[in-house]
Amino acid sequence: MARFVRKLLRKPLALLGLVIVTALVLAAMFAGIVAPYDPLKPDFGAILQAPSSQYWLGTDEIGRDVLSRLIYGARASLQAGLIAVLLAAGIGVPIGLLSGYFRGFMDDYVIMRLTDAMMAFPVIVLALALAAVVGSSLTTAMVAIGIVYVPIFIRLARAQTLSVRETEYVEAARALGNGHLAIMGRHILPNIMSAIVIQMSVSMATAILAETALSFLGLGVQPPTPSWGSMLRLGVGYLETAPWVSFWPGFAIFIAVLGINLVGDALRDVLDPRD
Amino acid sequence: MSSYILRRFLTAIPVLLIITVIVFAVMQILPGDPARMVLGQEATPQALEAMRERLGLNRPLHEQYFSWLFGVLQGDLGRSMVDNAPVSRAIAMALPVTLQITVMALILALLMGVPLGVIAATRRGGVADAAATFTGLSSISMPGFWVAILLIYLLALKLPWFPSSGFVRWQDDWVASLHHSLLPAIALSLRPTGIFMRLVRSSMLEVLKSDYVRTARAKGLGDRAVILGHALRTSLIPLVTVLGVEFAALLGNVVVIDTIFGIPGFGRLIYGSVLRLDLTMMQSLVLVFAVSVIVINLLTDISYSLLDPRIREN
Repeated sequence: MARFVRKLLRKPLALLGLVIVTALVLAAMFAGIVAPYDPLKPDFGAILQAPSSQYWLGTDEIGRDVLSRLIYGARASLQAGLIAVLLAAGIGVPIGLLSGYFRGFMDDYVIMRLTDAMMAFPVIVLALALAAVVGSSLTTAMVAIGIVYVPIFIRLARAQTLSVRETEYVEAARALGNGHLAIMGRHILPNIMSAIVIQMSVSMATAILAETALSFLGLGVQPPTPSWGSMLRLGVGYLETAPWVSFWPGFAIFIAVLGINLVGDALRDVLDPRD
Repeated sequence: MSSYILRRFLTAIPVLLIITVIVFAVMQILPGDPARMVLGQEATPQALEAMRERLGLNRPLHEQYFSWLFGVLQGDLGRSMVDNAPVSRAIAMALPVTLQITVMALILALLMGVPLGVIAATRRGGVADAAATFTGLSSISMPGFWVAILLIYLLALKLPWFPSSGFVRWQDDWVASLHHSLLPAIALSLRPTGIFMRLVRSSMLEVLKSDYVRTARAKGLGDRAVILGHALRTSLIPLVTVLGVEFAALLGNVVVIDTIFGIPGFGRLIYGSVLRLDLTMMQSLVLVFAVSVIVINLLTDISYSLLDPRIREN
């Protein structure tokens, strides 16, 4: 662990990513303390104010503080990214592991063709259809994104299992009389975990982009709950007179996703010995 | 060679069938009665029954599926539930628009991403590498709709160089058409630019370590000749594999970009159908999206096998 942290700290970009992600998590957790204003309370005496010492990032069309809404908005995006990825990995990894371990007809003809088919649906398109069916909410968006990402984890876990199951230590574990479950759980899973963790960080970044895009289209987080995507959506209407209302939420998304991607790259450098 | 292509074709067929089953099944679990959606809330029970009969909703599920599938195979995608116009006509109108913008985005991404990747790989560890890597990662991390809005603010509102919305068809006036589609194409191109840059960088680093590059250097060729004449060609091959995936991602992102720029493409069509609950339109569009992705993947796999003989041997 200490070696891991030292290795991470030697790379400035990795450090930058770590700082961004830590700041985001803290902002989301302690939004009530950090945010200077109530994110929901309108102030009709301060509509569309430009950034100033009083409102650092300005105010929106009903006088709410943009900075406070950004801080609270981190919650929706982080939650969406995390839950979508946990859902996708939670369903995909066991299926991929079993499929790669037992091989055979199920693996070649059912699981693989099914993942081929599922991967053909673009995230936003599937999420749009799902939102139309069950209604728009953050939960719909998270579940839709999670479902779309399931085949990615099936394929990854399967490919990794295929290579690990031929190794000598798995052979040895089998020779010692270990059952299938013990081999998969104790010998294969720990060895494919680093690849899965790397993929989870990559997927979390794209999941946040997908969630904000859905909220931007009005199909994710519903107002008045602050979220970066829906703030941008409302800001577009005031682009000419008050560009800060749409600039800052997009900038927040960019920085958050960049931070997660930087951490993902660093994880790849540290965990993947091939490079 | 042809046996590989044939095999690849044959594996695509079950996948396409699974897609039709998924699309059909999703429409079946929709809450609500399609007959009532067509006729509205005030419809009489008799009218509803007649509509169900007309739409074939009284028949067993598998019969409904096969009659829908045979219709689709003959190019009959049904009629819109909102204006009763054939869905295939709406798609035929939107397809060239979306193709134009996505192909432009891919070309821009190649023009930006490949040189950046080469620069990063050839100056590994240097400042240029760090800058190119950071640029690549940033372009993957930027939300396309935010970039679109920034472009509109800077290049359409502040500096009136580009139109802020709307579209002109290629056949009407190709100069105006390019002018209208440049900003949307730039917004779409950011993600593939970053992906291409990273891929070219890592595959170039791999190739630069190979024996034939060492031989070329030993022959006394300069850096330029080695990189552009020998290494680049090989490092571009992996690009073909992600081209399909990135095209699929572009098709998804078109939804947001169409909405922001008011472009009459696929994205606006599907977004509109979701807002108006036009289920037949939605069903057909989801199907068309998925089938195009499968076809694109098929084409990229085949071209990859033409470029890299090792794939066919396996």
